[in-house]
Amino acid sequence: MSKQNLHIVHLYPKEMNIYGDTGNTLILRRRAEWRDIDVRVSLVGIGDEVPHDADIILGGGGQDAGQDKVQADLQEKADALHKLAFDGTVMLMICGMYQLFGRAFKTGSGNVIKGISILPLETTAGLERFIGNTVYQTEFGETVAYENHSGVTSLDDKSLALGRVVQGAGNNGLDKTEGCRIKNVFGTYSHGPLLSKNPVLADLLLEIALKRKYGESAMLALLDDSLEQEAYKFAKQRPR
Amino acid sequence: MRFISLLIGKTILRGLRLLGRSGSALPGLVVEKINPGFLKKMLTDLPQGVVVVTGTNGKTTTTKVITELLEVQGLRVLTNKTGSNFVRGTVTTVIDKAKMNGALPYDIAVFEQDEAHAVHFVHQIKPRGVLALNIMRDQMDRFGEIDTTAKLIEKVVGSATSWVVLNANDERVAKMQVPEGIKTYWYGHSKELQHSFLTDDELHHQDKTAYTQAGEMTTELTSYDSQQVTFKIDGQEKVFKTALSGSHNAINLSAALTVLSAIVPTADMAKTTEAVAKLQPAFGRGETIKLKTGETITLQLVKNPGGFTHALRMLELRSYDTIGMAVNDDYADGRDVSWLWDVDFAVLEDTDKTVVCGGTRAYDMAVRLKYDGVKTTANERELAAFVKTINRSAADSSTKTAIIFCTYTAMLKIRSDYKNYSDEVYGVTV
Repeated sequence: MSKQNLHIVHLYPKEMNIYGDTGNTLILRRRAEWRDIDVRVSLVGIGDEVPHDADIILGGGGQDAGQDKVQADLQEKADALHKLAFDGTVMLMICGMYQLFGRAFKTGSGNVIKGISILPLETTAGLERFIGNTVYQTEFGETVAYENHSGVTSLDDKSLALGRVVQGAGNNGLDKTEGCRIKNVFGTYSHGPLLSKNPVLADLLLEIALKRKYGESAMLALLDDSLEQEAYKFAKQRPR
Repeated sequence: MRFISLLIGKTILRGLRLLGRSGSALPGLVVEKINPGFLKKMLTDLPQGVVVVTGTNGKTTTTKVITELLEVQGLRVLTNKTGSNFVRGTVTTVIDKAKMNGALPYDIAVFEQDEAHAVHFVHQIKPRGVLALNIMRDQMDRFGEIDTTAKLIEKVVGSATSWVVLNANDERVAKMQVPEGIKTYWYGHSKELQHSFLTDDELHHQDKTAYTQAGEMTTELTSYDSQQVTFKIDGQEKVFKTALSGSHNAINLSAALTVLSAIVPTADMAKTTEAVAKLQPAFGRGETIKLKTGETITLQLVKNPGGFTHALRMLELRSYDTIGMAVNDDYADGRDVSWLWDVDFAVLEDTDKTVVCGGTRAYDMAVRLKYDGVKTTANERELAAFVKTINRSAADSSTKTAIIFCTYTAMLKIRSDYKNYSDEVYGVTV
């Protein structure tokens, strides 16, 4: 049997790159490699094509300036991303990229930045900044992370939320929803980076990607996650 | 009013000291409340005015170096030595150093000011000169975004009444608007040293940005190693012996020498050279502690990806058998530890050195290292246990050395803990 492989794509590493979200890419890469899976990582920036053979696509948070720079280019990539999303490609979009995967982002000055409408949601610039340690209940257990955003995001349908807020603000500080999931597209405000303390989620993303590519249900070999678990336990009891 | 304020401030300060507390904020806080114009009145009397040092990394070290370079030229320098760089810390410094009759017996003041607080400070006191070091991603849960930080620093630069010293290699500093009539002095490093100085964008982009040189440099760093640094000063190569090692210290020295030429254009070079040779690292910034049992432990403060990445390069200059990394997540450290993932630890991949993590976020640090292929030998959330482990490991090693990279509150705690192991740790714990 030839070796399995995964193609991981990181979108806009130059423009959308604050709060260590590129760490998610490193984590997926290593956790696949530790299972003897070959990994290719492509950094896709402004003007670059989205590889049609991408298995996992990641995006991170950015500053307002970064978001301004990528919005037009993202529209160019919208068709390709829609196709991949519809086809079950795993995507993990954090914070700024999560917002742009929705329909629109309304800025404080009333401008509307158009999103690519993969996720059925809208975001408005809020007055309050939501900052702090977070705990969310999701279908794959409790995740711990760190949020830092002033965007107020409303889901068209709350049942599409990725999780329910246990600690923190989540999508908007009001309805207890956090993030959004459509097919295998995961959007969330969670930094940390998210996958660093939630290895179960990291492996789930890898398993979905492998299953999509190779058909059979992938059973990933167990790794020693004791360090991650200790970090998780401690972060969970930290004050906001 | 000045005397009453001073009396009250000094009384609180004395009380705190009797209680064994350093009290860097409280006296300033009280005096600011009862006499909001206090700081301005006191500082406007200084014959050579006030110099503000700001930027993300290197403020404390550079302020200390500038102070020492000015002092050997015969100036009496008032400075906030404790690293307490908020406005009220500055007020406390003034309260402490003023005579009871209200006189402030100094020629010039050099204050380091945190980006966000510098704006408040210059709103009250217009500085004669401003040094802007660099703009890097810092604890953004406190200040917002890097472009916001750049705007804050530009305001501070714009408040100078006579001159500014700017980092010619920092893209964001280089773009700053300097008001008309204000003299700009540039400092920086040569193009050949570009590989040693990752810009903030490079840290986050994974590709190289072009070398920036915004203007003709007064002091240009051309080379450095663990013993000496070479600068081109007004076109002439000049070698300085120094104990401050690492690229970050070399560039800070370049900034300090430029500030010296702005303040004392006719500075005595022999005295400067001698002063540079005598410089010791500031509090926790590459400071080396000798233990009673013979080992030496170096403490290096790290606050953000840029600073940590530069600090890791110290490992290329000297050999340390034991490497500690202590990460706390208190307010002063930044509650968010995501930034550790913007630091590249690949230099330590598969290292055979002992690596120990400590602090409240010891396991976050250990996880981060794990994904760069670095195995940790031990992880101790309690810093007293962490220090013990480091000491034991240093004692068992051949070079009898260790270096500890630590966030702010971890540094304070570790430093204070070393009083149990060394007679050389003194100074204020904030």
